[in-house]
Amino acid sequence: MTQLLDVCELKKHFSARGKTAHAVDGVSLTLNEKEVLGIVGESGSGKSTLARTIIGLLDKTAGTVSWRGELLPQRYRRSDFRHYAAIMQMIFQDPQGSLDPRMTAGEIVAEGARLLKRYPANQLPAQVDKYLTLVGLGAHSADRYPHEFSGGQRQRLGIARALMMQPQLLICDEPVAALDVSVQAQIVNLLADLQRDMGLSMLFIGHDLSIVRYLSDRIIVMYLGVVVEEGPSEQVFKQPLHPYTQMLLAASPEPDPVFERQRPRLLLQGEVPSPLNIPPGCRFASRCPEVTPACKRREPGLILQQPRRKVRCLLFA
Amino acid sequence: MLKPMTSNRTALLTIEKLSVQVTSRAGCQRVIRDVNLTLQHGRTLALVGESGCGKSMTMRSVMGLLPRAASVVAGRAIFGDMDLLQLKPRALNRVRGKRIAMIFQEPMSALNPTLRIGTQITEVLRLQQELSKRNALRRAIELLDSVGIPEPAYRCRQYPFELSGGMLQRAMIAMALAGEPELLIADEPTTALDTTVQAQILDLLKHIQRQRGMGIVLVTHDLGVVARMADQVAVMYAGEIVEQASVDRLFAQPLHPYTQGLLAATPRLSAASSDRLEAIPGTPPDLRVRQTGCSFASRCTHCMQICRQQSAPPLAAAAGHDLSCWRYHAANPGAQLVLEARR
Repeated sequence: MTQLLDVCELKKHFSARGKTAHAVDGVSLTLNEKEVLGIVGESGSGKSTLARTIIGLLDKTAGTVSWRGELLPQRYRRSDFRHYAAIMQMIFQDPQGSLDPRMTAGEIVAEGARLLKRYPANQLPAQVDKYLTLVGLGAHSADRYPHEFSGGQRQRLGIARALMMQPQLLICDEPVAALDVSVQAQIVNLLADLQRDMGLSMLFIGHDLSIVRYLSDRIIVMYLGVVVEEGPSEQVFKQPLHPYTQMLLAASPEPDPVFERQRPRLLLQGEVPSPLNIPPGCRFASRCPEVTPACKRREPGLILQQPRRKVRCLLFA
Repeated sequence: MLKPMTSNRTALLTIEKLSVQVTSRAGCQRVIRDVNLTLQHGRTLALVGESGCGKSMTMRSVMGLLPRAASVVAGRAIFGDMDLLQLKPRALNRVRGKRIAMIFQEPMSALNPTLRIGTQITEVLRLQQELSKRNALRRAIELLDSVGIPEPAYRCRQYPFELSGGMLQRAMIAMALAGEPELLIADEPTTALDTTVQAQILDLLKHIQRQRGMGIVLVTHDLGVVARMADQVAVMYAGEIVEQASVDRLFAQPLHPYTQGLLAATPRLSAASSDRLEAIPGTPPDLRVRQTGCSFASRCTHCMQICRQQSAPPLAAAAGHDLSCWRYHAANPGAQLVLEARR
């Protein structure tokens, strides 16, 4: 397995009214070729900021991102975007907001590839048709405008636009969160098929654990800007180690009334603390059911617990 | 087990043959057709469906909260001894917010951003219960405390933007409880919230229901939430109830192809990683275009010729389990299961 992406101690801080928000506060991760890494966390965990910093939409505060062993610039310049847009592409949660309403579907899909000369000019229309067909929209939709598509179709359009660049890494930031269940399943299956057929590597971000599970080989769980647990997806779901992962799984409702009646009620108290005011010690201590006095004094590191599994918790130190 | 529709004298809310139409430049369209629903005292009825299916509009029409372009063209909504759809605005106002309360998906937009939380709750209390300013504030603090808001007196002095989404939804619930309602209509109350906060709010609703014996109509698109909360489930598609049963029966023996499709498309934590979701092909129909036949026909894998020509007849699979589908009709020679026509 070739390692493609290596993120090391990445930090992204924002300043607001004289305070600093530690949105991403030292995240390390690796991604192998053809691997899907799921990133799970609730709002404010820093998962979207992490994705945007990796792809260069946001400047890094500290830490490094390497692609195939080559260090990416700390701050992207215009020429860097041209270079890396061909390698990494992103699809967004809100397909409506990420499509220009005045451009036709064909223009939207072609734009990036045209600017970066990914194809000879005379082949561009044929390629647009090919990718529109690939995502299930059909070549005839090239002349339509975004408002003529449904939410699911717009998300397909976003996927076609990203794939047209022939990226090696696709970053999906909650791509199905805004879609209806029946359409959500279509998009999840489409992404799974494309990933397999094209050998894509993927970072798949989601707040819905059960969706992330269908696509990911490995999973990292984020809380308040840091990774609290990492491991092969099957194992993390079967046997979550970190108390937060356990609570998150317990909170997620399962479409089975008999199971729902029998399952123990584990309720996480309170809410995520503000990233402007990160508590000392373990970041989860204020809500953790298994908190000890030591948790509030010392921040645990992310340590290897089992082969391929890491957890950030003093219970395992 | 809930009683069948015919002997529902003790029901808290009975909606019969409700139809709603929307008038636009394109003409009049029926967006809700012949909806029948029954909710018993102290129980939870989940109205489930995808966006645009009419589930919110059904409950809004009961509350008299339809947008101007929409109007009720037929049906009754019996609550106690009243038909809510026939009430004059003043009479409706005496019921609404007091005996029937409603909470919404986005607490942020349902609250006034320029008024303190305490002011908004005391306003309700002073109007409904004619409490003095001081007593209303004391009651507001009690209510916030009862929905699990820490430091309620302090929160009363805060503005909505100072509270998190979960706290705001709790405040909305507190406000809804002010009139001690017999019926709570919860329209996607946890859709905008994180998983762990959603679990807290659902737990709170259940707790309040047990404590007060309140009936809940839960409008949602999430079958996981339905499984956790509901006693009775009605599945809505394109303005019609396509299947209705007790929660256990609906999840164990779904009969309508749309219900089956929805369940197969819903992700499960218990699934193996090699499993695939089964998507329903296509998208829901545009209600602005007049349809003939079954509205699900174009997406249905069991679609027959008759499905495209005539709307499906109501059938009864068992007491309390109704559905509309040609697949189980005696006229279908290939039917593996033939159901009785509903009375």
